[in-house]
Amino acid sequence: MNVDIGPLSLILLAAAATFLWRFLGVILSSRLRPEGAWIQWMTAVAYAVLAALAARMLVLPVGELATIPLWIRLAGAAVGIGVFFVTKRNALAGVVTGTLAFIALVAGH
Amino acid sequence: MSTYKHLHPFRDGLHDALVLPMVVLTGGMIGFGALAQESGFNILEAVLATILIWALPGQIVLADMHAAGANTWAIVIAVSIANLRFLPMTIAVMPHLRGGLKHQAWQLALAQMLSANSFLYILQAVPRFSPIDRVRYFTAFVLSCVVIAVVATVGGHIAASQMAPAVAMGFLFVNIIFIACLLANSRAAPIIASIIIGAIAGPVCHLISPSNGILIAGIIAGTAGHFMFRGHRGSPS
Repeated sequence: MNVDIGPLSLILLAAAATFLWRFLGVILSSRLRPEGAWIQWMTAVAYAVLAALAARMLVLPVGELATIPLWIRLAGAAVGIGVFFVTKRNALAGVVTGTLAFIALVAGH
Repeated sequence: MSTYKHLHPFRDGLHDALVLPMVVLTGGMIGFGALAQESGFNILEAVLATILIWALPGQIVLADMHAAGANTWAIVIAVSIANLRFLPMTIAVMPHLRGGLKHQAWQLALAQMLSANSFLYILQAVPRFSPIDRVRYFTAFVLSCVVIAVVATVGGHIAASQMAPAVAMGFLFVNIIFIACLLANSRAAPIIASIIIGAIAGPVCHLISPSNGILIAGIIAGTAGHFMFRGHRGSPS
């Protein structure tokens, strides 16, 4: 059932499909207390989903990044997180250094 | 409100957004703008995707699959699944903001503003502000992010053909390293455990189930982390 719709309609549908989760989140959260165990559990799940997503993007990327060897991707991430901790948790330093290291390795590859 | 020391939520929100998120959003959205251009979206469509979806991983899935000529409904479902994390994220954030709203319908607007970026920053700001100031902080933070993201999307779309491949690749990579650094900044035991288990379970579960793996990994890891350290309370980051 592939309907040929324009790019604009596709974007609107994708946006609606994303908003669905935000909407359900608002409805469900209105029944919960901020300090309650349910919220703490959901917070842990939300962080874990972000960690799972970032690890998946790093180890099993889709598209262009998949053409870069795994060791270069891991090296870029290791440099970034390493600099982050060395600079007493300066995320800007970590992100910039890690990305530049990655670009240098890709360019030299 | 005398228990809260910070009295400049709007200024703080602008300030926080204009440091690290600005660099990362600029990098990430330039990457998306370039990808959107190569995938056949015009500038207006790329900007609308940025504003209306407001979640870079989902936007990348949209552009990637559109370029690959995937079925419309397959694309919509894939984007939706890529963004399923907004369900737990909204549930986690909204109770902290709800008290600062006159009309509860505004929760939907705040939920639309949520992203990995604003989720992590608003949770770090919760202990500093009263509910109404949290809404001010969050609004200032996200509005700056939207402006930056739109400008970067347009810039990436225009610059797409002139970018060296290594640089274009770097713009995609910046998002991963950004999320990793923000997660590495967590200090509460249950959250750290959830993140470590999630990072291991994510790729494994993705191999088993490419469509649902990330969500399954998140539920398993978050549940394990939460119950391993149930007694440990503290700020979530």
